[in-house]
Amino acid sequence: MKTLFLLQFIFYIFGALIPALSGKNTRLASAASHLAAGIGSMLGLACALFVFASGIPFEWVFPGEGVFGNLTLRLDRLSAVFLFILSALSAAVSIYAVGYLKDHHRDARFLGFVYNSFICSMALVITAANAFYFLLSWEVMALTSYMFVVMEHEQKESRRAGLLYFVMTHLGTAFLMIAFLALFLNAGSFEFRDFQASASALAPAWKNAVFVCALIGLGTKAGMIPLHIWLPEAHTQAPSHASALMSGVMIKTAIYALLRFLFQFLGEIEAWWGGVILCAGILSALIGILYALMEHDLKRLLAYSSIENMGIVFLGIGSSLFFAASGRTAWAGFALIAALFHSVNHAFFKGLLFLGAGSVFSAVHCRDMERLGGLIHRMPATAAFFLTGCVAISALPPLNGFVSEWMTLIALFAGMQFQGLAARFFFPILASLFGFAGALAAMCFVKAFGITFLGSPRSSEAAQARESDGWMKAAMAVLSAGCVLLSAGAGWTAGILSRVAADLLEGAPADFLPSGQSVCVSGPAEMGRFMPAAGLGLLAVLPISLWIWRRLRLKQLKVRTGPNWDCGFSRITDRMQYSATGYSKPLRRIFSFLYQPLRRVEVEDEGHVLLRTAQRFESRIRPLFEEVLYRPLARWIIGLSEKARQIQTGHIQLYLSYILLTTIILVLVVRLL
Amino acid sequence: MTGAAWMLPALHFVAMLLLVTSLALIVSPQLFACIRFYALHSFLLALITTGTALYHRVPHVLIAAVLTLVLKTIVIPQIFYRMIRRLGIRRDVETYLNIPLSLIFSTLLVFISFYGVGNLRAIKPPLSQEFVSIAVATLFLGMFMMTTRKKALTQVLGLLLIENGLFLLGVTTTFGMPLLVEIGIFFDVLVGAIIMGVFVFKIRGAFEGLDMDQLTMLKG
Amino acid sequence: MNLAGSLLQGLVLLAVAPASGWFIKKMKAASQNRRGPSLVQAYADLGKLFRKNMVISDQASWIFHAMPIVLFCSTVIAAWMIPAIGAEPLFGFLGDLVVFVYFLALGKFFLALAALDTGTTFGGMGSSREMTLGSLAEPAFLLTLFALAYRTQTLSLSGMASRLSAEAPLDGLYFMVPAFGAMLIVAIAESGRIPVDNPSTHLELTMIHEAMVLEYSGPYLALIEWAHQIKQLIFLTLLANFFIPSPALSVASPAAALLAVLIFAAKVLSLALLVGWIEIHCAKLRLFRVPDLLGVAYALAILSMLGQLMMGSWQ
Repeated sequence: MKTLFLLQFIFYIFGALIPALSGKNTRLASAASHLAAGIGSMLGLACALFVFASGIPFEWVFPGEGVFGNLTLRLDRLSAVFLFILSALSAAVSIYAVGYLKDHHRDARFLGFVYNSFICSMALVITAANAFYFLLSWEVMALTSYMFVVMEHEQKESRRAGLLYFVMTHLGTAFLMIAFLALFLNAGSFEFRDFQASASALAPAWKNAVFVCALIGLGTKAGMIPLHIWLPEAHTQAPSHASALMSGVMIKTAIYALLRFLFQFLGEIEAWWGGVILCAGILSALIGILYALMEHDLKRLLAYSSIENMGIVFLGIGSSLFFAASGRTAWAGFALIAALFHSVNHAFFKGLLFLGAGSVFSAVHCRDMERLGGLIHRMPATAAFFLTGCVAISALPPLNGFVSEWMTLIALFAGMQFQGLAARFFFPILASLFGFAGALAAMCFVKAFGITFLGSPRSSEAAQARESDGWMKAAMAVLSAGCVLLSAGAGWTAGILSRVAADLLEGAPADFLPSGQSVCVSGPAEMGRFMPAAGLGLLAVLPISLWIWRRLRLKQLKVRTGPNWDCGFSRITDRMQYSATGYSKPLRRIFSFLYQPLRRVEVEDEGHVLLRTAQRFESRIRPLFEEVLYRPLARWIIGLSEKARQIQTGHIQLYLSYILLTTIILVLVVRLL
Repeated sequence: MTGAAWMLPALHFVAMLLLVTSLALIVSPQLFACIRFYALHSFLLALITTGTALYHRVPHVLIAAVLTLVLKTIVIPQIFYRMIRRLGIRRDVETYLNIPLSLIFSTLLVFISFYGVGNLRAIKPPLSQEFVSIAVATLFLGMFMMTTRKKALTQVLGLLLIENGLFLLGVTTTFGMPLLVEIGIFFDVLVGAIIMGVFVFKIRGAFEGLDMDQLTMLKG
Repeated sequence: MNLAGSLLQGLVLLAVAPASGWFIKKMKAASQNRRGPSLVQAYADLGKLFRKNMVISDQASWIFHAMPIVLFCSTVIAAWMIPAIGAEPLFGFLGDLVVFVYFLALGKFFLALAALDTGTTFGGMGSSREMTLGSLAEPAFLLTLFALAYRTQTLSLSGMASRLSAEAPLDGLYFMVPAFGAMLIVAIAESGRIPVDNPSTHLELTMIHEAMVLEYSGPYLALIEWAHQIKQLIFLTLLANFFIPSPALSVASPAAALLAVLIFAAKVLSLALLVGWIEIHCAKLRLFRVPDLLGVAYALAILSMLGQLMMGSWQ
């Protein structure tokens, strides 16, 4: 198994090198490179499943030198969960990429290199058990994903998104570095194992400081509001298969690291951490989905919805911390399982949706939903897969998103067991607001699917769309099957995840899926019994549909097709359809305090209202976070820099003297310490 | 020295209705409805006062209850009705916040009063403690109403809401003040309402409207 | 008997649903000095629709054909999840209250999708409005359910119903009344009745539910209408079993089951009377006033919750 584990990295490296070594045949090189990544992912998947089955973590140590210590790769259960997410998704995405990059990417070879390095770096982030190498792979991950973002570098938005991403992610890494260095000071080594061993020796003030730094650093990567502003830009600009990985896996590496910090590196858990994370979670969930609803760019919509889903994961983690801090280990485990389960689920359905969006893009060359429509007739398979993703992400039964959202909701409700009045009051409020976010998500994805795939085409390109090729369909089929399986096997998945939670919480896994307590639920075991029952219920109603179908067949029931109802006036045209912007108009009015919509109507006429020549309408929402939070911050920093410029005179001698001065001070400081 | 067992749940119910009425007073979009809700609020207050009097067998509180009933549910609303008719002002309420937002803030205020009073160990009310928090909540809601309303009349209503809260606090913590003081306060409120009515006239005379925003012009 | 009772319970809901809609109609007619349709008419309409031929839009895809069946199935499953005549619900389990809400949402999701399928303006309009109002009603509905679940210390709908009806009527009044108000508003909003939506309107621009199903006819329309009536009855049933105290119902013997059905019918009819009364006395609200109403529902739910936290702990 160990060799298998290493072999996956070799495949990634091999895959990265193929394009460079191969000859002129770009298409073949790209395909080979992505397939190599696919094989590597299969191996990773096998390793993750092996760890789940056997429960034995395995470890590989490359001897290293100096203060940084050895390069240790360890695959314990927690890592295995995230390796599973990574490998399953990247296996599907690799297949997809072969078809997706076939036609329109002159950079396909370079993409192959970046793609393999990206996956490899994520696998290293997840398995590295040494802070130094973790940070190293973290940076490689940031860099390779940056390359995806600026792939279309001749476009201005792309460069802007890249810059924003670069700045934000480095800001995050800086905080993360501080957190790790603080832990290093405490433990005297960069090994995760030593961090964990010396966690109890961490002074409370240090502990809280490390928590804040880690939350800011990792929250930036996870797209936690208000640190999210890079996410919609970056995920939109990257090629769709890369967005699937970025949204499905990369932002989840932050969740992985956060779990390590909270449950392993920081010792005794404090309740207020849970409070902070819960607040961040509900803010991300609500604001993320509210912004997603306002988008009519398909990929931006999906990106904002990723923020919402990360919010849901945060809600699970936050309540788990709350429970753990008050010694309710069983409930802490339940909430943690919910969070992990949602991470897994989100990877599947969000990956699926991004791939679907990519298929639409490669068929229509347009992401603007106002120019799409009616694609279900032209691309039936893609539509079916996209619909699967939509149902799953809207947390509707019987697909997988529902199971994890149900568990999160129950975990939040269980928060009412606390003695404190505030907890008793706010947990159910949080739960109801979370339900609100879920309902808004359903609306968002009715819009995403309905405007894109239903109705009639809103542009000539959409009218001539072609179904995507076999590779792409196969990849989407795999992920759709994953969504179904994760729901049908919810009991098993929860069982596996309960052992992961047990590792983190040091409790017995059996406790985490409780049954028959006072304010309480039965957990997925009951759920497992319910799903077949619901299936039977569906079967019970099958006769009705069969009956209608039979009558249709036997021509007892005549079906005539005709035009739409037009109120008796002239025929309805395609341009009269509801638009994506119109669909969310009611919400734009109701939540105008958040969106602060701007609306401008310009009328051109030749001297009189009746002689109107043109009318322009513009409506957009104010990006509140950018304008209220980031612009002033940026202005302040620029102002500060202006002041700092005073020491910059242009004389090279002066600069050299600065260096001298700094060196002297450093030497003195070291001496005095 | 306490009354029948069914009285406490009944009082709880009335207290809850009192809260609901305060919220209704805050969000109702029409001036007349506001006044009716104020009358209802005072009526419920009278009920609670009566309940307290019977529950603890303190007859002098009954007088306060009767006064509340007469003065606040009948006389003051009548004064208001008349004022509105004579002023001929617009009958819708103008606020700075929309209804859902003010509801959210109000429920938060109710929670804060519950949360804050819950830890006040110093108060040992004879009736149970939740009435204290409801009184404080009413007080908060009255202040909230005064801060978010544009028109002078609705601000006066807010003030009366505050007064109701204070009265409830008095009744449920100390069985009310001595009767003389109580009557004095009632008289104050009545006179206050009349004087404020006069003021409202004057404001309108001076500013051609009752919009409190225009008072900002007075600052130097 | 146990399983038979559970099956019977859902079947009663399915069978009674058209009648409950008819009752409100009849009551409205009576208030306008009209005679109104007879009870048979409610069922005859459905039967007629089931037998009629269909006209289908030339732009419809398979979503259009799948929706009535998905909607009907999910509603029927939801109907089998709630307690009605005292039997253990067929699909009931601990934690089912959330599942119940999400099953109703599944039907709504497909309803809104199918409305967009034919590409008409009205469909989009209805779909957008339905999803907006539905999502605004969701937090109030969930919080009300949670408030009741907190009181009864259980997360199963049937457990909640049985424990709430066992409560002394006066004790719980202070939190039941706001919870009832919240749930009534949600029920009205979800079943598309005045003042949120007018089920008997003929003006397309003001429609919500009707606008979504404009393109449907024949058996499909019958399924949709039936599902809609079942959904309305589901909400009435929940209100009845949570808030109207009654002796414990049971389906232990046929006689007891008959009595249970009668009591159930009486409770639901009294609620239908209330809904009809509201309908007679209210005008339909402007679309952008409905969020205010739902905000009121949410505030009431919070009050119900808060009331329990405060008054409950010091009793």
